[in-house]
Amino acid sequence: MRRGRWKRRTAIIFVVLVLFAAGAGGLVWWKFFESENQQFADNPAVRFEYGSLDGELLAGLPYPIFMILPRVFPDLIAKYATEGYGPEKPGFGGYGAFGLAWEEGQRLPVGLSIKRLGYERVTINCALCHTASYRLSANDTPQFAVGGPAHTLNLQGLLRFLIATSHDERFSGSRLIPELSVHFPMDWFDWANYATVLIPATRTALHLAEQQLGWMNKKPAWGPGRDDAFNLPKYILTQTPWDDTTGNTDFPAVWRLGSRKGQLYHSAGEAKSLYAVVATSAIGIGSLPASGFVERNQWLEDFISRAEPPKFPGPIDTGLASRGEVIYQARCAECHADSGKRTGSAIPLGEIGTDPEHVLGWNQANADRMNAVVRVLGAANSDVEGAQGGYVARPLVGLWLLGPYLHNGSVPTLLDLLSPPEQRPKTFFRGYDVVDLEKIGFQSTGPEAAAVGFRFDTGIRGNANGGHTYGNDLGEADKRALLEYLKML
Amino acid sequence: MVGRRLGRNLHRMWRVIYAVVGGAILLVVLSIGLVWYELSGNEPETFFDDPVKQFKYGSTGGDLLAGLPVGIFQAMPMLCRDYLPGKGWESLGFIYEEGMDRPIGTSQRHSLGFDRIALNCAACHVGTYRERPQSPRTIVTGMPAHRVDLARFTKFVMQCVLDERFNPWQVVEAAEQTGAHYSAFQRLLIKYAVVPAMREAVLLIRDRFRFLDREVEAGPGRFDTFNPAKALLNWPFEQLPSQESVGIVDFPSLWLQGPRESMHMHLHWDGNNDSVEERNRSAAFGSGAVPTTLDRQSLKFVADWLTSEANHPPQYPFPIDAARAEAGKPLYARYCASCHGASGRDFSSGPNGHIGHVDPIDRIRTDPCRLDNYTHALAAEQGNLYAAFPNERFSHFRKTNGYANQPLDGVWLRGPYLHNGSVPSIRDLLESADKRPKSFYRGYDVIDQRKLGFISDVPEENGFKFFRYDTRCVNDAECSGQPNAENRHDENVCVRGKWAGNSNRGHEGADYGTELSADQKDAIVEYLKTF
Repeated sequence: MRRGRWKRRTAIIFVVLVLFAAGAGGLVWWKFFESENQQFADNPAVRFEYGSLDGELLAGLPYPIFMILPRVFPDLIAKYATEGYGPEKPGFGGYGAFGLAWEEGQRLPVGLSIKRLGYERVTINCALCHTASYRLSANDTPQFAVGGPAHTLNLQGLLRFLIATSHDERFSGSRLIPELSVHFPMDWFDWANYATVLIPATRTALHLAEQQLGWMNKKPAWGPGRDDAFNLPKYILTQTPWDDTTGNTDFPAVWRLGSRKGQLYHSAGEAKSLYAVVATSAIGIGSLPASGFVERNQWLEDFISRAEPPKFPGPIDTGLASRGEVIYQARCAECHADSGKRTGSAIPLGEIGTDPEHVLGWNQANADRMNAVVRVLGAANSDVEGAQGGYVARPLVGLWLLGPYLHNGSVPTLLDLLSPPEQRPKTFFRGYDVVDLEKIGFQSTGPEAAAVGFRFDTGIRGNANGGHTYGNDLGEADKRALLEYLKML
Repeated sequence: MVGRRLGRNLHRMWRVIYAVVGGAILLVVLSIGLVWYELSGNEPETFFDDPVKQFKYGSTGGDLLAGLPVGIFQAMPMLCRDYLPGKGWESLGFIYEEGMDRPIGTSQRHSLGFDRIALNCAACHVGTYRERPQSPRTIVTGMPAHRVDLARFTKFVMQCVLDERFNPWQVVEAAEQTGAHYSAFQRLLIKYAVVPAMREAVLLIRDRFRFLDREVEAGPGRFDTFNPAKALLNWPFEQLPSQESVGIVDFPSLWLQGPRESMHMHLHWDGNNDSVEERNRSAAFGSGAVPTTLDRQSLKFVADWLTSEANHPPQYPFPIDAARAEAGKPLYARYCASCHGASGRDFSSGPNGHIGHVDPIDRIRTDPCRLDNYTHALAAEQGNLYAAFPNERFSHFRKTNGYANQPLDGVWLRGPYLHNGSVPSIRDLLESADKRPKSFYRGYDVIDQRKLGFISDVPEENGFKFFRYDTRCVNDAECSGQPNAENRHDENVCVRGKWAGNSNRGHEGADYGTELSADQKDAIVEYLKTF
């Protein structure tokens, strides 16, 4: 009789506990993990711009917190968005201050995805570094070329800003929650959740990011339009000890990559398949090989295989251009035409003569280590290679929007690239988005560029502007003709 | 023995402890309940049987958090009377109607323990006119509130709340003198919560609204409309390029929003948004209504009325010279209609017309400051506003390159003219800029029947001084050494200077009718009275 009652009591307690645990689990699932698919109305370009790579779990920041940070920390925006720039570089305008391509009418700039996983989380995607902003004149509003190099994007400034906020006393519930509650309806759960979970967790996540990125403060600044492309996975993904290398590289365009089957990818041939490029880049920004990983990468591969650049917006003298084409065929086509003998192969350092640092920073041992990690994570067909001893000669697609030129963006315009290295600008200004329709590239000297651009010094390690002296010997008229033809590519 | 007694004593002690603890808990619960009861409740005053009244006195939701307790609102003009240009809120241009104890453009709501008052749309969009100085005022709904000095109102609130007199004791006393009755609890609230909170809020607003100190005085009938958006986003005004710092514009009329919406006209002076609904919510920020406090029911009700046919301007009530107006009709059709529409009710502008669309600044050449004040970066960041509400998020703001052509419904009540209210009358607008008044007075509401607009050369009435509007430096002694004293903007870019934003240039030349004969201009003026 007694034992029976105890049994019953135990059973009741057990059931209550189970129900409670189930309820709590359900709440946690609902508030932190229930996901919702994004809708892009079958518009591939929009999906590329704002679509998620499902990195929310690992690299997602709560959208409400992310959204209000610039309003709470305008002083830090001003500091980190202008460091290294000319005196009139705007240090305001939210995340737009870091040169992100922000279309009017959107919640966040291109390259930032908002997806609900319990709560709305912001992650980055390919378009962050692969959408070009440009204007034809200083009075225009910016236009955005999807797939183009994000030459205005100050990624390092953005990272430094986010990290700096996490060390600021204002990054606390007492400052952030009132700001949040102006814009987001919040119930008691939300208040508690922000105060005890989301705000502290976001702060901790940014502290972790800082530890992982500490090396970048010991190396030359990236500047807008660049990052240290292979030191990022080397130090973070594979946890290799920090070494004395610097591999700052321009963001490349991802247009018409389908034409490059069988060629080498990345600046120094670090991959042999486009799928591997996409998959490892996705992992690099927090996308884990789980269900949907392969399909999404294939979709991205398909998109960038076929993406096209906008046409050159200025007039083209077709007579002059056809003279230029003859020169192009004779002097450039071997390495840069689709059918060129050496197109897509790595031109050895000794021959090309451009800055060697990027090649020196990533060897086969680094690649092997990364491949091992990537395989453990569960991604197949994603092997990368060590640098191939030189830089890849790429087919020229949308060339007029690819400035500054060379893998490290050390030569501001095509006309400069056709000049001998000693005549190329030793310093110039990057990140000003008004195109130079004469010299081809972006305006990078002169008072306007100096006022708002990032001062780029070719004397700094990794920024050398020598090499690639092809065509330097051409006469003035021939260079003009060649430039005219290059506008059409 | 001893053990048992100790046990009994312990037992008794526990009873006492239980009683004390239980009593304390009960007390805490009761007080929480009382505070909850006092502070809960959210009841706006509504007039859903009368759209016009709801427009004038209904809530946008700003009063939920940002409203002033009624007694304090009523007491402030007395408590701080030396900061006002005259007696009461009327001296800032606010209009009182019979039967209401608060001015048009205020709403009232019971929230957080008090009946609270805040501004609404009507504060800036209900105006008055008179036939003669002796005539009674006629109140017109939807008309620009050309006498309301919102900038001065803002400054007055800041000055008063930060004044030494605005201490808990004097505030309660002054509020009770206006007839407010407070419970003991409410008095405690005012002393220890409302007054400190108001001071804190005003300090924040004073900082965020520091753009007011960086531009020319707006005066009555005008306000800076997009610098507040930058303030909301906490932009560092000190770092903005100088040509982006001035954004003062006239309050527009709010009539006939239906046709404007159905014709997809570009709203705001620079045409930066073509959604009436989004424009309304953007403007509601100005009344303190943020996404989480917006009174959607009230705003929808008002918006429905704004877009209805009932919302139209009154007919011109004074005599019109029919023959002269008839002579003006073809001139209007030839010179004005393609931008401003066929008439005051027919907004069609012909196959090549562009009514409601932006005229590029290098064509219209009016003061460029307001245009430069609104930027792509701001348009983009506004995409974040209302982001928590998928159907309400701002997605229509665009950077434009000029000013939008306005329909001219009720144009006789919309003076002074141009987006910055720099030209006192229609007749003056038909002159080239060098013949327009360099300086005039705003805030007088007697209609100028000859020139169309308001009488603008009267400096004061019954001791009340009107606001003198200088389009440039007019006092020679003051001009030397002033940057851009002539307030020129020949490159169509806002040029820094004390009068930036006040230029009366532009909208001139043969295309704009300023080269017609005096008779022809008079005829156009006469015809416009029919609008």
